[in-house]
Amino acid sequence: MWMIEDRALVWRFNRGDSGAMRRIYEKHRISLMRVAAALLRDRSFVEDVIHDVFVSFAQTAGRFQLSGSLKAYLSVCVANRARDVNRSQSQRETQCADELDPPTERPDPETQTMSQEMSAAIDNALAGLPEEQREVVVLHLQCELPFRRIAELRGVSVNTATSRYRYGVEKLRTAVNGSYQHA
Amino acid sequence: MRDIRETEEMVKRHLRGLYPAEDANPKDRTLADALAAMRQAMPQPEPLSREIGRGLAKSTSARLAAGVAAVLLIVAIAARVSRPVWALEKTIAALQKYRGCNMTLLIGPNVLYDFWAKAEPSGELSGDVTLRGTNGSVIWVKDNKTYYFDHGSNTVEVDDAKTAGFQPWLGPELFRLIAKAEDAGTAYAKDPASGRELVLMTGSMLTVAGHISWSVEFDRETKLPVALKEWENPRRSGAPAVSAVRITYYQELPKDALKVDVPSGAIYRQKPVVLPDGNLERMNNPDQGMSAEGMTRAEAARRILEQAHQAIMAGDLASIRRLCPLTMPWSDEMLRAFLVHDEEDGKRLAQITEIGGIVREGYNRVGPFVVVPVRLKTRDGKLWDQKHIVQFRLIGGRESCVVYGPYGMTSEVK
Repeated sequence: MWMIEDRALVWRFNRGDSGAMRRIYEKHRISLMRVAAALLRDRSFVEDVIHDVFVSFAQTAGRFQLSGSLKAYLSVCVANRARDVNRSQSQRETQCADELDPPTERPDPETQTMSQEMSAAIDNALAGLPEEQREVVVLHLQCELPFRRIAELRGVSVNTATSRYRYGVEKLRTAVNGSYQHA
Repeated sequence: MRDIRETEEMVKRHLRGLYPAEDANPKDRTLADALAAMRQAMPQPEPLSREIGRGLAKSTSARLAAGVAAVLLIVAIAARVSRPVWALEKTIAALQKYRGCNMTLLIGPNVLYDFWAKAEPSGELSGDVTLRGTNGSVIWVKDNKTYYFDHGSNTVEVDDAKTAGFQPWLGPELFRLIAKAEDAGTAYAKDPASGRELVLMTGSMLTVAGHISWSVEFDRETKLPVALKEWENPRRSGAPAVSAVRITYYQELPKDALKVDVPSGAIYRQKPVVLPDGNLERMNNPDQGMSAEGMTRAEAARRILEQAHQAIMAGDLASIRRLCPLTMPWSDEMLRAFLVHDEEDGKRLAQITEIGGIVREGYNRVGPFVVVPVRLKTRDGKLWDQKHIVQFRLIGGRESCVVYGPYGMTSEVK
């Protein structure tokens, strides 16, 4: 149902229908913000990443071709953009470590229902995962992308995507259990 | 010890908590920039959904909607003084008996529509309508809802209001309003093919969406309008935005004239409420509107709609302009003629019968907006249902609101 709606939206989007662009934005932005927040080392860049992804997407109006789901496409765009931002931040960090802002603290109702320790443990564990494992975990758990699709979008085999996910989740489980035992 | 599945669930919860839906507030500029980028990217800026909808949504008759009851905003007509034009009284008399019509409409450069419409029982408003386009699109109005079927995507977008049709109905009220155009002109002609004697009436007016102009052809013998054209400029220059190339009148529409067959499997969804950019620019004046501080949106919308309608009842033009920014360009005379009405006029607003709760919400580059139904009573004792859009904005850190205007056409309460 959602994918059918996306196809209709893309059809209208390619004909310059601003209502379709609005709907795409409102339908996907929150999920994409979560992807960005999970993948970015500095969450103050979340809105910039979302801005860049939607503007770039809008620039394809009239010629955009959708294969698969729109959510998958946009999620991977966010992942790519987050990767770029992380890399440029790493370079800046190397050049002038003192100028970097501290990571943004973002307490919120949902994470508050988990213990703060647990939430911090997951956050730290996610941040500590290698980039490719973190991407697979976030794209699979947040965007519900199947491994086959992630593999296609990342240009790796399905086995590689699955392995990355398995290693990533194992590390997260260790972190969660560590926090659980500690609590 | 937690297993993999539990861990996955915890990570999902954690990810959802990074941006809870109610807290996520991306930069306002993102959507505006994306829309601007999309417009630039498009080789042709005319979107299909506008193409199929614009004919009636923007037609002369739709723009004349403010003439009825206490519709807040739609039309601005340049003067009240009637000029000596074609004997419209005879046309009006000839139209009285017809409650249905069929037109061949050309909307934009390419799409022809077979348009069927019937009047509401009062004979003052357009009722159910069906348009079938040569491109496969179908638009229809039923039970005060408007449906836009797109053949290519097999989808139906639904407007919770009457957004296609005539208001006033193709009848006396419409032609009385047309006669008031300041530059109304008349010419006589003969169709060499049919030998029919014709009268051509032209005019223009300023609407909230800009200038429009028209030409209407009347059959000199029957007095009925047989063709009309509308341009989106004051000079009737260039190709018309809408042309009715043939009009046939019915006392009763043929059976099945309004029937619509939508293919099975069509997806129905709500049509977004999109306000024109040019009008949105006029929603941001800090000197207009009403403070919404300390109120819920529903409370603020109710209060500003009460104030706006009380201003109409009292003939308080300054308050009308302050609360409804789109009326700013209207002269006092226009506001009195088409919104306030004379003391003795049956169409003058007598009572705000009911203001309902929010039925729709949306967001545009000015801020959030809500749609609220209002029931009004006019001096002639008739009851009318309208839906109004109230636009909220944040100026200098303080929230306020203005009345944008009606969402869809007015309906008489039966």
